[in-house]
Amino acid sequence: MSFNKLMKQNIIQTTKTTLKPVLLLMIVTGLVACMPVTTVPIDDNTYYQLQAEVDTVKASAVADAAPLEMKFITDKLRLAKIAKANGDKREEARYTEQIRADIVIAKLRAELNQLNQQLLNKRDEISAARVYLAELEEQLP
Amino acid sequence: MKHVVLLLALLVCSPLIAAKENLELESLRIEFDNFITLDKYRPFAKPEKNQARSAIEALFNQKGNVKAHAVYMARHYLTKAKMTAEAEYLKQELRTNDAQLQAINVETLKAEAKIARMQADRARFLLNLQAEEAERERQAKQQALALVDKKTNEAELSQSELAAAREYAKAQERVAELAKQEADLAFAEIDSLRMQLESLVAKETESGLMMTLGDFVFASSSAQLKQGASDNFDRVMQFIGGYPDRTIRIEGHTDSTGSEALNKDLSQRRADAVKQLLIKNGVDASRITAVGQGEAHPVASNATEAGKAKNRRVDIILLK
Repeated sequence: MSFNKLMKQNIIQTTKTTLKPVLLLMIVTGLVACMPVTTVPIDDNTYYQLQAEVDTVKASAVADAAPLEMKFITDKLRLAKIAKANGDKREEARYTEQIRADIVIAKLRAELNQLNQQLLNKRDEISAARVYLAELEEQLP
Repeated sequence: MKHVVLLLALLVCSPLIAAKENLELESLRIEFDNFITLDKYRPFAKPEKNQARSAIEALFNQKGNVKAHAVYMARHYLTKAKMTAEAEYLKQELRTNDAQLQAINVETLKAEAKIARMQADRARFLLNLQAEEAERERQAKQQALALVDKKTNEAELSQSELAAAREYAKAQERVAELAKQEADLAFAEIDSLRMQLESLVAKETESGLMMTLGDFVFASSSAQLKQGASDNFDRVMQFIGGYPDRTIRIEGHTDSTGSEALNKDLSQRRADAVKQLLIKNGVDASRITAVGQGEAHPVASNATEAGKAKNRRVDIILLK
């Protein structure tokens, strides 16, 4: 058997042993890629429920604390309405999910602002308390 | 056939290779890696971090419009994880600051309590000082009042003392006056006595030469010779000195006043007194005899004072 024949046979055997996992990986990847990214169920009332949620947020202190997020939410709500009108449930589902995500972020933003403000106030309070304590300690022998 | 399968596999995997090259995905991954490596946020938002990690890892399997939405949601989960971590971090900071503030407040309360105690002590001290000051003032007033009383008493006392001193001075003046009068009287008496003694004369009797001393030389009812008589006895001594060889008889006489025994005794003592005076003036005692005659030999009537005065006498006789 010549050297070329020997190498060819070797390559064929190696290919046979490594091909199975590669194929399995490709099939799984293809299935995952075909899965929808959103799992938000869409029905006729979904948009209205979403609009009510947005209105609630607009009426709360979150609106003032996160104006940028509120703008995104308003814009996306308009796009969701269009998607609903077009009967594009997939698009409506995407916007619905994004709006709810934006609402979460807006609420977190408001909470962060509030916490930051509380922390600033607390630090001011500590600073004032330290100053007062230092004044008191100066009076002590 | 095998070559066809390999080609299909390469075609299916090509989007994955392309996704790795997607800068946005890389950016998200780097951003996530940077986030989870921050020590500050390490203990926080673990479920959110896992959710973000899963979402970012899932991105590598997405494509097309679906991929854009998945990227958005992955960024959302990353942002949510960051914000949740930040919120939890802030809450922890708030708790830490609360604890610090509480500790400072405790220290402040302690310091305030100490200061309050100090102020109370100081107030007590000031009150004590004020009380002591008031007590001192009261004592000073009392001392001042006592001093005023003392001065008043002293003034009154000095007035009374002055009056007493004046009285005393007046009394002393009177005493001095009396003393002067007494002295004058004494001098007068002495002068009188001296004159009487100097005027004594001797007379010749049956027994011998006799010189009579009147009772003026004795204190009243006494055998005590007056000092003036003793000092002015020169005339008597002259009389005796003129007859040094003669013996001397001294006779005491009294008036009739009182008992005979008493008069006898008084006359004897007067005679003895004269005898002692003579001895004192150098007359030999062996020459002298002293006899008390009492009231037995009067020279005048005892009915009158003048007669009694003459009867009270001592005779010095120079016997023959």
